[in-house]
Amino acid sequence: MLKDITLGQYFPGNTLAHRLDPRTKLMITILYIVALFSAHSIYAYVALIVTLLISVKVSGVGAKALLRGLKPVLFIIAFTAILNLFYTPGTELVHFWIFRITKEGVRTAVTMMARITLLIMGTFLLTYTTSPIHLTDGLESLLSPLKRLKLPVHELAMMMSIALRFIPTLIEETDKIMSAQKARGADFESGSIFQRAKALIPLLVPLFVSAFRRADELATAMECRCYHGGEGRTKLHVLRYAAKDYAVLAFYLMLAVGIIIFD
Amino acid sequence: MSTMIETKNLTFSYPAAEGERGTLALDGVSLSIEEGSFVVILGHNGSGKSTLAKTFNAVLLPSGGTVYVDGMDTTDEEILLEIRRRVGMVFQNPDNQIVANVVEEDVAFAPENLGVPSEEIRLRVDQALAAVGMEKFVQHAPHLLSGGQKQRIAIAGVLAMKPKCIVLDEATAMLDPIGRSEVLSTVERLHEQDGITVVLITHHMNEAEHADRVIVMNNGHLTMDGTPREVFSRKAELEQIGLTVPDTVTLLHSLRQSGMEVPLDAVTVEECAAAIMKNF
Repeated sequence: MLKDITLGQYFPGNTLAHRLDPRTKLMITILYIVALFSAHSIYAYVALIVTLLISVKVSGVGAKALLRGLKPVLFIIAFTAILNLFYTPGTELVHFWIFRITKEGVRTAVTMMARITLLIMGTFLLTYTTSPIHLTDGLESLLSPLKRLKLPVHELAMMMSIALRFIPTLIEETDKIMSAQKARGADFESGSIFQRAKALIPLLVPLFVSAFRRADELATAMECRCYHGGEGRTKLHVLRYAAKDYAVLAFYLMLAVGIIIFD
Repeated sequence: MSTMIETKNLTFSYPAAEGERGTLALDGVSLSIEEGSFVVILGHNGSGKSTLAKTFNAVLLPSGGTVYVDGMDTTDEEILLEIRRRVGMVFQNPDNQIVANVVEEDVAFAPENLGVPSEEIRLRVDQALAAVGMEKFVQHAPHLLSGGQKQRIAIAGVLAMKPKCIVLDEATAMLDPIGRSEVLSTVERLHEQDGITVVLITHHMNEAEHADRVIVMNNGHLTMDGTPREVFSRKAELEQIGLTVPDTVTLLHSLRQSGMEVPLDAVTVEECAAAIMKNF
């Protein structure tokens, strides 16, 4: 059951989308989100959808994987759509009992759904095509000017990449503990929400204990491999912008600026 | 030949809870490990063998006595990185020592920390992965590999520091028999081909058969020290401190008891078979 979580999962590959500089990908994701929230007209949405489709095609990520990523947020999408559908004032279309659907409501509901779907897919594309290490490298490099303000940028990037690295390990462990507790008669599926939350305690306690033990061992292993903070550290892959980065960046910049100005 | 690691009257006690006296995990251990040797340290749980290993690269600092690595005192903080670079350490749980999400990035972790230039890191990563026979997995995600493969990646991660000595702290304890033999043959090859000093800490007796020297720890003391033949011929003493001897030695002992003329010090399976065949 927990194996379905694809958050932060990376699909190795060697497409253009994989080879782009992670900083470029971070920036175009931000530009895409900005464009997404500035878009109003149908043309803007068409442009955004086409852009996403091209990006997906280039990345070689299967449609299945992308849609699977949507599953956990399906409820939020549906909830937002329904709220907007019934609570937007405007020209009435249908009216029965206390429910009222307006023309504006339908429109907002559809755009909200499109917005959230595109937002999730766009950001998932980033994590699907960028290894977490590249991602944190990119973030570290983009944020490095903040080091002058004494912000622990390297430490934050390191924490993020380790957290991401341990997601699959901890998920596996959670599965194991769940099975072990179920074998001893623990019940995670029935009862009221309160009871179910309480049933999670015997799952969370061992998980936390083991996470701390892992952290301790990992810290020792890192020290044994001469880790001593970000000072004087070099990189296997040095980030360098190439022509393709500028081209892609220019394209997304045009998209965002265009939508902001004309829409 | 020079000395790789030397301990002099080494004691170590873990910090105790308030009001209690800390028990000594190591109590007056003096030993020296020659450069280029293959040493196996045996002992049951709590014998102090892992604690001893952790003092070899300054993860734990001695409570008393001294540890010298290549002539350098491990308490000297100025040269801490150099000590850790020379003595690489591989731990028991493969999942808890892999830092990165891609094999090559994990192997690159140590040289990155040491400030090695990028081109040289690339070279070292490729060499280290080739040395452990994992060159095909450069771009793989470590959590999808088998236990033995993960441990070989961890060894490559240490090799990338170009160490003189590798300490394996129960590195095979969590592996299945296939993974265990993968790791052991890798380590044996590194020892033979590159002359790397190997210190293997284990409680599997069979892993000791190819060693130059076997050290047995018990209650924080060094109780036996010698070649595998010498140590395993003291079967009764080993059993007294909770260790079993390799199956080959057990077999030879029972054959001798039932009146067959066999030597008691043939440790490897091949030697053992040859010794038995002489009777026919």
